[in-house]
Formats: sequence, structure tokens, C-alpha cells
Amino acid sequence: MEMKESPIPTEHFHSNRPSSLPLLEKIFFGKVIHETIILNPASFLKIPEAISQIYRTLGYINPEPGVMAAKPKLYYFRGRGRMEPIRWLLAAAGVEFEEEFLETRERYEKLQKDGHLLFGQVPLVEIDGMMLTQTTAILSYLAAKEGPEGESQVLECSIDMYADGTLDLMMMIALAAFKPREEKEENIALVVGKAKTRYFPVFEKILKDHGEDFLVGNKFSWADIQLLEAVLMVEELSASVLSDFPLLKAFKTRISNIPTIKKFLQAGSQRKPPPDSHYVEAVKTVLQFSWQRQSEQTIVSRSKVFEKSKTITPSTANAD
Amino acid sequence: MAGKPKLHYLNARGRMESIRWLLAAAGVEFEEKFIETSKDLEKLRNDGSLMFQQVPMVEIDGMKLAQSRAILSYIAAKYNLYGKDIKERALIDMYIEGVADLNEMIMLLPGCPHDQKDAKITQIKEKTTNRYFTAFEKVIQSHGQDYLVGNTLSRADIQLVELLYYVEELDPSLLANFPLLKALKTRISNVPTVKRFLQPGSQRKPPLGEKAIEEARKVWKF
Repeated sequence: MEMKESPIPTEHFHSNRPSSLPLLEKIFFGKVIHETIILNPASFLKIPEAISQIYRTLGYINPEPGVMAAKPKLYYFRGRGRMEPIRWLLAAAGVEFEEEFLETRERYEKLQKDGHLLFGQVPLVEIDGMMLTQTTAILSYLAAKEGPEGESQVLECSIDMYADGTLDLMMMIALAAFKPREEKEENIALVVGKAKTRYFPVFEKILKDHGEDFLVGNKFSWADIQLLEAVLMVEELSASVLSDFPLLKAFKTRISNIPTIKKFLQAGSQRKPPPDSHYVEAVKTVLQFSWQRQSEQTIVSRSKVFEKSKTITPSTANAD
Repeated sequence: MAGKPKLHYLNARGRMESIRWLLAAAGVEFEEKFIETSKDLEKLRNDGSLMFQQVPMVEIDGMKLAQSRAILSYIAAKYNLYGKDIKERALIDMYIEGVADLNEMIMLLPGCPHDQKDAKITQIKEKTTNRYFTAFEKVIQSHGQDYLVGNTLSRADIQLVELLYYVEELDPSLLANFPLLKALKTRISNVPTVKRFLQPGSQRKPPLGEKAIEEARKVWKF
């Protein structure tokens, strides 16, 4: 069940009826008004403002420019980072979107001050009257809303599981850009190694076991989009990485040929290039290094324990 | 009909604890198989039970689920703790990702080198009060309801309250200036299933002690 889209941008943490709604029900009527109130009860508490919102909904007052826009709006740096999977998903679903690129500290601080960044972080996506942050929250919402999706909870779960795995891999790559240049070779080797030993074999096996065109439920889903994205990112680091994975190679071709994705892969689309020094500088300027520390921890945490352990083989296990 | 969910992990909180909380809060009985030696881990890997060679892994409803986020989402959806529509779910997701970020920082403290530990703790406390607690106090204040989303108990409430207990272990004074969060903690702790889980003898795990870290070192070889 989807809530009706509100034309008025709202605070991200409002979605419930305030207890004093019955009074307003007596004064005004109509589903649109209820949903306006429901979506922005904070302003409801200041009655004059609530009334002007209602008038706006009813079209008596011209809404602010951009308020009636239906396109999602993405707020991030001009680069891949944590926003790229979101761009892929929107593009694959054929949804047009706008982007605002963060280039100055001031702009970032304004977004924070305006209360749009729940945890003071980007990515931020303005969509359906919500100011959504947290990459996976946004991806889940978009995947559910725009379809392609599995048909049952079990299928959805597989999609989640696969997507989380590929996201881990992509975030390793995203973070490598912020590491010192001396470590670059080592990081690339690490990521490519992980792709070849941990992630790609898994997906090759999934494709082999069911022999279908898509990862889950014989139907195009979010999991396919993210796997393609991850595969292409690793190929940028090592062109021959798919040589041992024939099914993944075929998968890559197949998914790349889906019309919306094909368009996204062409020059001039909103797809972003690999991170370069300009991107790294922009991020450091806007966030003043705080993201580096936090995201480093996040990435390290995801694989920390397992990175440090040697691969367990029969011989090392017996060496206890 | 499949039996009880079976959790594969170390005998420790780690990345499995949120799953334990959620199952317990949903009133679902579960079994646990603890990984105690590196051989235990190797066996799971060789059996092909671990999709990305990692744990947590939960056997549930005929699946061997990996990735804690995917597992939590499945359980939440199955037991109606995930909002009534995709918009509520988006809000829940946004909140629990924030919870997970802070939880992660706290979870990793034991692994922090000794000389960096104090600085790390200071950073965590600062983030807790200025970023996370502020955000959630504001959420509750904005609607004045008993639960974070949709005026109904959801995984967001359970996972946030779990986090509040960890913060309390770190420094009980941090919650002092957040009355609504305090009230939420009390309210959720009194939900019968949660109350039971909070009592001694439940499957809730204690904080990571030196012994547990040593055990982990042996299993994961670091």
C-alpha cells in the first residue's frame, strides 16, 4: 500500500496523525488535507501555517518552485561514493532524477541546519515528500517502489543478501580512493582478490545452479543491477577479472543490454566516473575529514575480523 | 513447517546480538550453535553453508541466511515489525541504519589499539550525544508517540533500545539529557517479551570480556 504522494516537501520524521486531528476534520475535509496534515504534523501544531499548507494543497496559493516536482533529487558529491548504487537503481527503473552536487562546506552546513540530514550525513534523497538518508534505506525504498522486485519475502531476502554482499565489495573500492597513494597497489590487489575468491564465485555458482538469466526468481531485480555495477567497478581495476567466470561474463552482457541500463552506460548519462583526486578533494573539503574517519571505520568493521584472519585451509587448520 | 531458527555464531554479542534481540522481542524461540574453534568455522565453510564465508548465519524457514542486515529485515517483515507500508519502512530503515552505525563503533571498541582507545571513546560519546541521541529525541518529540514509527512497535524501537543499553554500559550519564529516549527505553523494556529477554538466564549475551576476545582471536586467527 502506498501513501499518496504529497506535493509539499515534508520533514523526514513525520508520518503519523497528531491527536488533535479530529478538530481539524470538523473545519476542513478531504483525503488530501488529512494526508497533508499527516505528512507534516509539526506545522499542524502551528495552526495558521497548517491552514496555509492546506490552501497550498488545494491550489489556492502557488506552491514554491520545485515543490510540485515529482523527480527524486539526489544530494551528494559529484562522484560515485555511496550514491552510485542509488543512481543505478533509478536509471535501471527508468526514473528521471535531479542532482545537486555538494561542493562547499557552507552548502553542507545549510542542509544540516535546515534539518534535512537526520544523522548529519549524505547521501540524501528527496523523494515522495521525504528527506531520506542512509543508503540502504533509500535503496530498499526505491526497489520496493519502482519494482523490479521479487514476489515473496523469501525472494526479497535473497535479493537483500546478495545486494549486501555486493555493496560490501563496492564500498571497499569506494574507500580505497581515500587511502594514501603508497597503499594503492596493495588495496587494488586486496579488492580484486576478494572479488575473485569471495564474491564472484558465489554469484557464478548461483547462476550455474539455476541456469536462469537473473539472480533471483527468474526475474530482473535490484540484485542484478547491483551485481552488474560491482562487476564493472572491479573490471576497472583489473580488466581480466572475469576470465574465470563465464556465466558472470554472460550475465554482464545480458544486463548491460537492458535498454534503461544500456542508456545509463553510455557517455553523457548521470553515471559517475571512478573517484579521482578532484573527487577526493571535494569530499574532504565539504566534510572536513570527518567522513573519512567514520566511513573508514564502517568499511574496516565490515571486514575487519575476516580480513585479518588467514584463509583457513586444511593445512593451516591442522597447524594449530 | 520448519523448526526453530538456528543461529550460527560465536558465543558473544558481535553482529548476531541484534538478531537475538529482534527474535526475542518477536517472541520467537531460537536455537544457537556456537562456533568455538577454527575447525567449527571451517566446517561451516566447507559445507557450503556460508554464502560469503562469513557469519552471522541463520537457518530459518528452509534458508541459510547470511548478512545480518538481510536476516534482520526478513525477521522484521515476517513478524510485522517493519511498518505498514514502504514509506514507514523507509523511515524505519533510515533510523536503524543510524543505530547500526553507532552500534558498530561501540562494537569495535575492544579491537581498538590501547593507545587509541581513550580518543575513540571520547569520539563515540560525542557522536552519541550530538548526532544520534539528538536525532532520535527529535523524532519522538516531533510526534509525541510511544513508538518511533507509525505509532506501533517496530524493529526501530527494539534496535534503538538495544543500543541504549550499550551506551549505558559505556557511560550511564549520556542519556541524562534525553528524557524522551529514557522514557522509550523504559517503555520498550517493559514489553513482556523484551522484559523476559532482559532477565538473567535468557539468550542475551554479556559484553565482550578479555576471555571472549581471546577465543575470537583463536577462531579467526588474528
